[in-house]
Amino acid sequence: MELKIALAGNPNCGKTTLFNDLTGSNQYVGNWPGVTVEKKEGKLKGHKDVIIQDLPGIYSLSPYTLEEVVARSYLVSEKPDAILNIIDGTNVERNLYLTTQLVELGLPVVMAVNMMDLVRKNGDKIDVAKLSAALGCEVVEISALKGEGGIAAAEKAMAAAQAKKAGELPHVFTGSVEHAIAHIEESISGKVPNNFLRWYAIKIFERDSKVMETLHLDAELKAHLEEHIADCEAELDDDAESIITNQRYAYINGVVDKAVKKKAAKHSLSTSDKIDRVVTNRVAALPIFAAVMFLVYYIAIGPLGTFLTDWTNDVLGTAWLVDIPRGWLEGVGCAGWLTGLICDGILAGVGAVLGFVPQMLVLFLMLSILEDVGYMARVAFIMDRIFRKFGLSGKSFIPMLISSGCGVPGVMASRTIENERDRRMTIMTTCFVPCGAKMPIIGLFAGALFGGSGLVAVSAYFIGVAAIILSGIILKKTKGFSGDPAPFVMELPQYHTPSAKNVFHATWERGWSFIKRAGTVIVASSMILWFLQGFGFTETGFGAVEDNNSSLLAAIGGAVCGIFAPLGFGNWQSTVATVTGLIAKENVVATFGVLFHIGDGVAEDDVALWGAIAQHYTMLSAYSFMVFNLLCAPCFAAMGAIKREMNSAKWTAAAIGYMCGLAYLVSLMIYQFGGLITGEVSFGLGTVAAVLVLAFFIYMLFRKNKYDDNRLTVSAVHAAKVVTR
Amino acid sequence: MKTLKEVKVGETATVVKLHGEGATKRRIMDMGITKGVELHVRKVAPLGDPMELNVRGYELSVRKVDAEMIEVL
Amino acid sequence: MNVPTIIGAVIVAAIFIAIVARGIYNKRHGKGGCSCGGDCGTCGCCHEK
Repeated sequence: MELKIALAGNPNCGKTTLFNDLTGSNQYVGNWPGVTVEKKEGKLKGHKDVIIQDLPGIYSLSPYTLEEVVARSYLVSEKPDAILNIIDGTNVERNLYLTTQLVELGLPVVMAVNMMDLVRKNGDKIDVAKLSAALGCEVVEISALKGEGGIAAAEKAMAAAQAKKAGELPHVFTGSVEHAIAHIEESISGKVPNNFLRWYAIKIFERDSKVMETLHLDAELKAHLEEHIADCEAELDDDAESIITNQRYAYINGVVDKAVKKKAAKHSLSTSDKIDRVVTNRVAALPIFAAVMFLVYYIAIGPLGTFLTDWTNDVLGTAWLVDIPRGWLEGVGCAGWLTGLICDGILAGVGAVLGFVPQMLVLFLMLSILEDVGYMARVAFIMDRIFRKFGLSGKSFIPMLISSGCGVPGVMASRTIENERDRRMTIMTTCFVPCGAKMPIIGLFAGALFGGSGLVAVSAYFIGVAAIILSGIILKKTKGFSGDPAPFVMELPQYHTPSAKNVFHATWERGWSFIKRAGTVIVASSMILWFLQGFGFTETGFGAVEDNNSSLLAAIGGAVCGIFAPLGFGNWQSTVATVTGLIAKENVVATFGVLFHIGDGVAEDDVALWGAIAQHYTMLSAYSFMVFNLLCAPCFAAMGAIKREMNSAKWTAAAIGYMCGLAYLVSLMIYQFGGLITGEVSFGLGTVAAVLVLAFFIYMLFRKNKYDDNRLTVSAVHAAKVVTR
Repeated sequence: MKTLKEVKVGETATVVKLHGEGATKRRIMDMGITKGVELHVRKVAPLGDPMELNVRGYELSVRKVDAEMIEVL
Repeated sequence: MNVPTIIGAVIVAAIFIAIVARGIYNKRHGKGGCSCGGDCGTCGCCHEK
């Protein structure tokens, strides 16, 4: 028989690490709350019939965020055969709060006290037998990171699942509350499954609206139960929800006092706190954050990255990837067009992208380290004030940090945000952060026109962040986004030394995915591009063209490219690259690889590609093109993610339209104002348009927020009603 | 009435009562800020908000607006 | 057209068809292409495990 064991516990307590340990899979692990927002299944190693279910972390079974809903509804309605409750041994008190609720579910529960290695290192002692007695479930000590005890815990959970016996429920509450709950249990017995009786009774006592809805109790019974609850509230002078929470914690206090001996004094400074004193220091925190991000991008896309890319191109790019196949193809006597397709099409396109792999690996490595250390949650803490200014919470920063790797999981990470408006705004703005796939575009221009300066990538990152902040301020003043900021109650996890395994795994996964796309999507698009740029209507009719400026592609691109002229890149190649970039952003680089190689008849290596780029762009128009591609609509995969998370065609269109519009206007200003300074453009219609755009932006930024006054709550509620589907 | 907002960095206070209602209050309670618990204000973020607390042995960050709803002694 | 050209063209065409077919297959099975590699906790949507 198949057994289902669910892993449940607080966020960031090591569920996914244990999941990987138990199932041998390689799910992504990070050191901040909310890494996992979806449930995942895996088979227990060595037991084909046991399914382990990884759930998003939750603090309580009264859910507020979407990922908490996922966990709760799984536990309550799908009823796993057993729950393996993971407890952070360094923070037993708050973790047990969830345990008191889990045992009430009436399912077999086994508790695994995780991070025992840290507990021992701190010199603390946990009395497992006492915990077990107080909570009515078996308790095992484990260390998921070190791989200790995980399997033993899973086997205990299997045994519990086979025995199908839930533990004896501890009496957590005081007399009058237990009395009221007993009454409720009596009145609803028969209406709910027997082993869930206590859980439902407590939820009714708390007046949990979602549970009440599902039960359909008649009005008379409801009134009767309400009396009991009100009596209790009067006696204890508190509301029912608070009574339950208070008493749970009071019970846990008693348990912890007996079972846990901490060596360190209360509120004493741990190593983590000492690091925090510097990193989140009042004066230094923001400069440190800026410096960290500066370093990451400067190193990855700056001198070191350029050096790596040059080296790759020298070794791999020219000789292996293009010259050898060309010689070989010509040697066996292939037709010229096929040699062209393979060497000037596929290999030129793919080679242009693959050249960036080492740079990408450096970038991904550094981002992975930052994620694993636990710095990300601090950034949310530091940035909250700025983000709240325009109604986002610091939590919105986490999706943005993830987006620096890839926008798709970034958009999905917005699920940890409670407030719907905030969530929408985060989804709309999070793709402004340059993702890994946009890095080759930056690297290409930095190398071709800016002498490989790392400052280009750094500036791109900060332009992305600025776009988010400015968009926030502007959007906040529109009707759809007005309203109170969401609360920001977030746990700050302990720092830990990054685990080499995690870091290398995360780096490799991202890098490999980049390579895989180069071998698939980029290959296919390069082929199509090569044909489109090689054929066209000539005097003798449709056929191959010598110069790709007279090709079909040039004709199509040329028809549209006029709209980009005011931005400084009105050539057809740029337009084509922008469109192909929607398939995958690094396709922009591949497109240049295909189009410019042939157009200029240069030798096939990337330095020559740089030369071709330098002929077609000035520093200013290149920068304008780069910014446009960073801010405009993301790739199709990310657009799909936006559509899924918005769950509304209207909002998806609004989000993508906004991104494209903003990209156009920002690039327009960069080119027009920059051009006036460098003398590249003379004063004209474009300048006037740019001035108008600037005035518009300033107005939007500084106009009074008509939704930001005391009537706020009313109008916000109204707005929320209007926009809900 | 003294609220958590007025507690200075480095000071410790005991929770007397939680005001307000709804999801935010419940969230704060779920995180372990309940009647009688000791809160230690660890620090305030660079821009003056939010604040970092040590509660029940872990670090929690709350905004000052929400801290105002927590009555302390 | 000589023999190597035909063989080469067939291989290239086969690769192209394979890539496109694979792309359509993935799309039909609800797997888009995102660059996280499919192992992050947040992208269960685009890569089934």
